[in-house]
Amino acid sequence: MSRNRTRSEGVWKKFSMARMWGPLRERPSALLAAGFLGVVGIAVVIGPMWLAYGYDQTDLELGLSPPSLTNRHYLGTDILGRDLLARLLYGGRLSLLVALVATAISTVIGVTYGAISGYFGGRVDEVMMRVVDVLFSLPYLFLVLVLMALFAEPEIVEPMIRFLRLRPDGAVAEWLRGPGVRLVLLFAALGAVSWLTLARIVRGQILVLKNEPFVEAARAAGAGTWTILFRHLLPNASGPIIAYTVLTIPSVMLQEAFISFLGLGIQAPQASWGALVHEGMQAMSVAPWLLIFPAGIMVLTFVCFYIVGETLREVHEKRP
Amino acid sequence: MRGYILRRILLAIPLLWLILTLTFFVVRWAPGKPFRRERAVPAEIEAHLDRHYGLDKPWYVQYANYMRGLVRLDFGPSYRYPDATVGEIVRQGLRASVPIGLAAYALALGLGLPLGVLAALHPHSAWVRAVMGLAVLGVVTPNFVLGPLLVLLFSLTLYWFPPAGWGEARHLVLPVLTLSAAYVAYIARLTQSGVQQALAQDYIRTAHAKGVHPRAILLRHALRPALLSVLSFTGPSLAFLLAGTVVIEKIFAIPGLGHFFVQAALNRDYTLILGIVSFTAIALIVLNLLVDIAIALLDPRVALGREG
Amino acid sequence: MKRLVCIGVGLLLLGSCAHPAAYFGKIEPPEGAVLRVGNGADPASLDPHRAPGSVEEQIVINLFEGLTEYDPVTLDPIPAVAEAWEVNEHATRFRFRLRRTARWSNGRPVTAWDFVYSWRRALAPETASPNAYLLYYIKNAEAYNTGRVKVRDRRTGRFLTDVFGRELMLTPDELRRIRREDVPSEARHLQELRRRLNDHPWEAVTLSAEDVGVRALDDATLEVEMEAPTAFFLKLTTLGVYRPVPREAIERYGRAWTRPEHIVSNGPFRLVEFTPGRRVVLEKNPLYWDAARVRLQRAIFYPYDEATTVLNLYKAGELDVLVSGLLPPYALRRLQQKRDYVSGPYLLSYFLLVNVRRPPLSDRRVRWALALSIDRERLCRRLLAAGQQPSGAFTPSDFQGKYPRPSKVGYDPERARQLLAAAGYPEGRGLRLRFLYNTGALHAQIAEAIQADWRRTFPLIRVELINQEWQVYLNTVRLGDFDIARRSFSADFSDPTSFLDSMLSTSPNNPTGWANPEYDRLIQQANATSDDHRRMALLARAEEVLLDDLPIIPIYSSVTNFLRKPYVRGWHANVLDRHPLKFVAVEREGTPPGFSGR
Repeated sequence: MSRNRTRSEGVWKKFSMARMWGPLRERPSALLAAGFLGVVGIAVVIGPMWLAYGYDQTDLELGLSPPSLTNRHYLGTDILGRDLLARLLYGGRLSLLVALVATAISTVIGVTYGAISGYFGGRVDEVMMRVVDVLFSLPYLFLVLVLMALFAEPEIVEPMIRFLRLRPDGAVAEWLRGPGVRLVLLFAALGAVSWLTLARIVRGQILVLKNEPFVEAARAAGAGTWTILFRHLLPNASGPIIAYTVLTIPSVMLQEAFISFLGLGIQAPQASWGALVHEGMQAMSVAPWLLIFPAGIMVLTFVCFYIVGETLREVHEKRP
Repeated sequence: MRGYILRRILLAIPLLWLILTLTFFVVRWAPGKPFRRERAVPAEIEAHLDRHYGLDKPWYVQYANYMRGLVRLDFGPSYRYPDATVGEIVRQGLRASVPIGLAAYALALGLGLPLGVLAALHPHSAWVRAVMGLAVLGVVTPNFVLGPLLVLLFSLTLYWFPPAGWGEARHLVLPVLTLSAAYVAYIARLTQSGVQQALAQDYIRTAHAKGVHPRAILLRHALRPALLSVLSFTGPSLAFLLAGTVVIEKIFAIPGLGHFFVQAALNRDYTLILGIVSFTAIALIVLNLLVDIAIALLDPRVALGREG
Repeated sequence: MKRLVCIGVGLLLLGSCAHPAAYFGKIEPPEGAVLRVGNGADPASLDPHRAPGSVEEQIVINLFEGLTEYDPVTLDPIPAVAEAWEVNEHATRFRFRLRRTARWSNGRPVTAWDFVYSWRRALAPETASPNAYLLYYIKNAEAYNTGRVKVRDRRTGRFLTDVFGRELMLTPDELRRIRREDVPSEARHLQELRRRLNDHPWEAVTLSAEDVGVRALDDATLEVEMEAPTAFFLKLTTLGVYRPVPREAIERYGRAWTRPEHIVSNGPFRLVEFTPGRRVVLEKNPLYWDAARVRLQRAIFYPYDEATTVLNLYKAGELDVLVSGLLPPYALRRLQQKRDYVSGPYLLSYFLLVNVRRPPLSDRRVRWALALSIDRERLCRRLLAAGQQPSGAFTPSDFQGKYPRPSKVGYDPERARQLLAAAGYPEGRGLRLRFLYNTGALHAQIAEAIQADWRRTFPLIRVELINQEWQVYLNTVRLGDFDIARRSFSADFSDPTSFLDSMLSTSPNNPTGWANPEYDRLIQQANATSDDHRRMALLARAEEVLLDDLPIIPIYSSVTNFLRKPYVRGWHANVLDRHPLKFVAVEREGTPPGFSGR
C-alpha cells in the first residue's frame, strides 16, 4: 500500500529539479545530450548577433560556394549566396519554437482529452472517441488551407490584435500582421492534429488503470474525481505519455517541413530546418553541404531530445 | 459483445455522414476552384465546365445531389480525371497503397515488438541500446531524406532494386523499408514502456513468487498490457498507412491513394477528395473498432460499452 | 550514432563526386523498339477536346492525326490527313484535300465529315472543352461556343461589323440591355452601337453548330471559312483540339470512349493501356496510312513528377527521354556537362504582373523604377544558369526573325532611383509592396533575388514575399488581390498573338487592371490584317505600347531542357516542346561504346 501512495504523488513533484539532477548525473549520455540541446538553444537565440552575415543577405555572385574560412561563410552558401550558418541558426529559432509550442499544445489537449474519455468511460467515452475519429478523417491539408486563407485576411488579424490588447503600432502587432499570423496558425494547425493519437493512447492506459486497487484506495480516502484523475491516474500512465511526446517533437518538425514545402508554412526569406533540409535534398548533387549541415543538426537535435526524454522516463518509472 | 459491435457499426453511418459533410464544405471553402490552370479561359468556357459538372448550382443543391449519389454508392466523376469515375481512381490507388501499407506495418511490428520486449528485459545491454538507437534514427530522419538515401545506396550504387516505379515485387522493397522505419521505434518504445510498467506491477511479483516460469510471465502477463498501448496506436497509424503516404509515393513514383489525394487537392477535385476521405474514414472506423475489440479480448479489465 | 552520421555524409559525398562521364547513367538501349518517356504528370483525359494541357497534348498527338502535323524540328505544319491545301488571298478561306488512304483504327476511312463533326463537337457548349477558344478563329465558332449573337441588317441581310470589318458579337446580357434601352453611360461601345442600330431595322441572330464555318464539300474536301484573316491557321490545325475524334465510339460509349477497349483513333499509334498514376501505353497502329514510316513498336508515358525520382529513373536506364522542365533546377549545373543534356529556345515568358489599380503602382514611374532595378543578366547567369535569356519584352522570341520584337527594359539602377524619387518615394521610403508567388520550381529563389535587387537599389523599400499554394495563388491573382505577382506564360502555337492577345483589356489572362485603348486597337487591327509582314509590324507596335506602360515587368525568356539517351533518334528540342513519335526511333547501332557513367 505504501508503494501505491508514493506512486500516486503528484506528477509535478517528480519533475522537481533536485529529483532529476541526481539520476541525470549518473548518465553521461543524457548529460551530453542535455548539454548539446542547451548549446543549440543558446546558439539559435543569440548566435545570429555574432555573425558577419544576415540570414536574408543575398549575393548572387557567391551563390553555392562551399564552406570556407576565408570568406567567412563557414558552412557555405545557398543558391542565392546567403550564409548557411546564419540561416541554420535563424531557422532553428523558428523550428524549435514551432515544435516545442505545438508539442506542448498537443500534449495538454491529448492527455486531458484521453484521460477524461478513458476515466468516465461509457457514453462519454464513446462520444469523445468518435469525435476523434471524425477529426482524424478530415483532410487536414484543407483545414490548414482554409485556416490560412481565412486568417491571412486583415479582417481577422485586426480583431485578434485588439483581443490580445496589443498596441496597434507596436512591434508585436506588426509582426502578427506580417509573418506572425502564419506562425501562430502553424502552431494551431500542428497542435490541432498531433493530439489525436496521444488521446487514444492515454485513454487506453486510463481504461486499464482505473480499475487498479490504488484508485479504489484513493476513492475510499475521499479523493474527488479530478484529484484521482490528475494526481493518481495520469502519473501512473506517464511512461507512454512521455515516450510518445518526446517522439512528437520530431514528427511536428517534419510536418512543419512538409507544410512549408506545400507553401503554407514559414514565408521566404525566413527559413526553418525542415525547409532547409528539403532545399538541401534538391541541391544534394551540386552542393552537398546544403543537405549535410541542416540534416545533421536536425537529426542530432532529435536524437538528443530522445535521449533526454528517455532518461526522464526511466528516472520517473524506476524511482518513484 | 455482439450488441456492442452492432451498435458501433450502426454508429459508423452517422459518423461517416458527419465526416463527409464537414469535408464537403471544408474543400469548397478553401480558395480556388476546379479546372483552374495557369492560362485562364474565357468566362463562357468556365461556365460550360461548371454546368457540365453541376458546379453552377447553389451549394445546397450540390450537397443534396452528392448525398443522393452516395446512397447509391456513386461518388460521381472525377474532375482531375474526366474520363474516369472516383470509384475507379480510388480502387486504383488502393491497389498500390494497401500492399505497401500492410507490408510496412507488418515489418514495423515484426521488428518493433521483439525489440521493445528485449529493451524492457535488458535495459542496460549495449546491444539493445544500439539497436534502439538505430530505430530512433529511423524516426528522426525525415522520410524525404531517408528515401533518397536508400535509393542512392541500393539503386544507384549497388543496383539491387529499382529506384522507383510500380508493378513488381522488387519495386516494393525500398518504399516499405522507408515507410516502416518511422514506425519501428514508435512500436518498440510503446512496447518497452508497457512491459516495464507491467513488470513492476504487484500481480507480476505475485506470479514470480508463485514460481511461474519467467517466459510464461512475460507472455501471459507482461506482454498483454504492453500490447494495449501498441494497439491503440495501431488503429490510426494503420489507417494512415493504408490511405497512402504522400511523400513516399512521390519519391518512389507509386500510384497510390496519397498520389491521387495530392492530385485531387492541387486541382480542387472535390469529388475525388471526398472519395478518398470516405475511404480513409471507413478504414479508420473499422480499424478502431477492431482495436477496441482486441483490447477487450486482451484485457478482461476493460468492459466494452459498459459504465465504469 | 555519430559514426552513422559520418557514414551517411561519406555516402553523400561519394554519390556527388563520382567521376564525370560523358553520359548520365546507363546507355544500353531497352529490348525491342520501345520508347519510355518521362511525361511529368498524369494526363487528365485522352479525349482531344477535353485534354487541357501539354501533358495530354504530348500523348494525344500520337493517337489522333490532324489535317497537319508538327515538323519535329521547326514545328512548321506538314501534310498529314490533309495532303494538300489552298488559301485565298486574304487568308480567310482554306480548302484542304484529304488523303484517301487515311483510316481509323476500325478500318473506316477518315473523311472531311469527321472534321466537321469533331470541330462542332469541340465547340458545343455541352462538351465543355477547355480549349475551345483555340477554334474561335473559325467563322461563327466563338458565337456558337459562347452563346453570343450577331446583329444582322434586315435591309441588306448583312451582319454589322466593327471598324476593322469584323462582325460584331453581343453577349445575351448586352443584347438585353440594348433592347431595353438600359445601357450604362460608361459602356461607351454599347452606347455607340445603340446609336448605330437606331438607323437600321435589325435583328439578333443566334448561331448554331451548322453555322460554324467548316464544310465538307465531299468526302475528301474540307473547306474552312475564317472569322477574320488568319495567316497562321495551319499552325492551329496541328493542335490537339483540332484533331478528329471518332463519332461512332463517342456516340456509343459516351464518357468512357477513351478507354483502351473502346477507343478508335486515326494516328500512328493506338492506346493499349491507361492506368492513372502509373502509365499510358501506346502501340504502333498497323492501319495507319503511313505505318511503314513509324519505327517505334511501343511507347510508354510515365507520369512521374518528382524531379529527383525522374532523374534517378533516367540514370538507372528506366526512362529513355524526358519532356522539358522535369530536371531538378540544382542538378542542371552538373547535367549540362553531359552529352545527353539537350536544350533550346522555348516560347515561355517569365514576368511579373503589376496591379496598376493600386497606388502607388498606378504610377508609371514606379513600375519603371521597379523594372529598371532588376539585374536580369545576373539572375539568369547565376541563379537559373540553364541558358535562360534576360528579357526586355513580353514576347520571348522573334519567331524565326519574322517578328520585329521590341526590347525596352534593361538594368539601370541609377535611372530607377531618379524615377522613384520623382514619384515621391526617394530611396523607396514609404513604398510597401507584397510580392506574390506560388510554391514550386525556383519561384521562391527568383522572388528573393528580385527582392534583394530592389532592396539594394532602394534601401528603404519594404517588400513582403507571399508564398501561396497553386490554386490559392491562381485565385488570388484572378481576384486581382496582389501588388506584384510572378507569372509565366507559354504559347499555344508559335505566333506572337498567342502572347499579346492575353494583355487585351478583355482578356481573362490580364488581371493587372491595365486597359489601353491604343493597345487593343493595334492588336485588333493586326488580327484583321492579311499581310503577314504588316501584321507583325502592328503587333510589334502594340508590344511597344505595352512596354511603355509596363503593366508587366519582363524577367526572362525560358529554355527547354531535357535528357535524351544517345540511342533515341528524332526527338528534338523545339520551341513548344512537342514531339510527334511518328518521327522517333530507338537505334541499337551507332551508340558510342563504353560511355556508361555511374
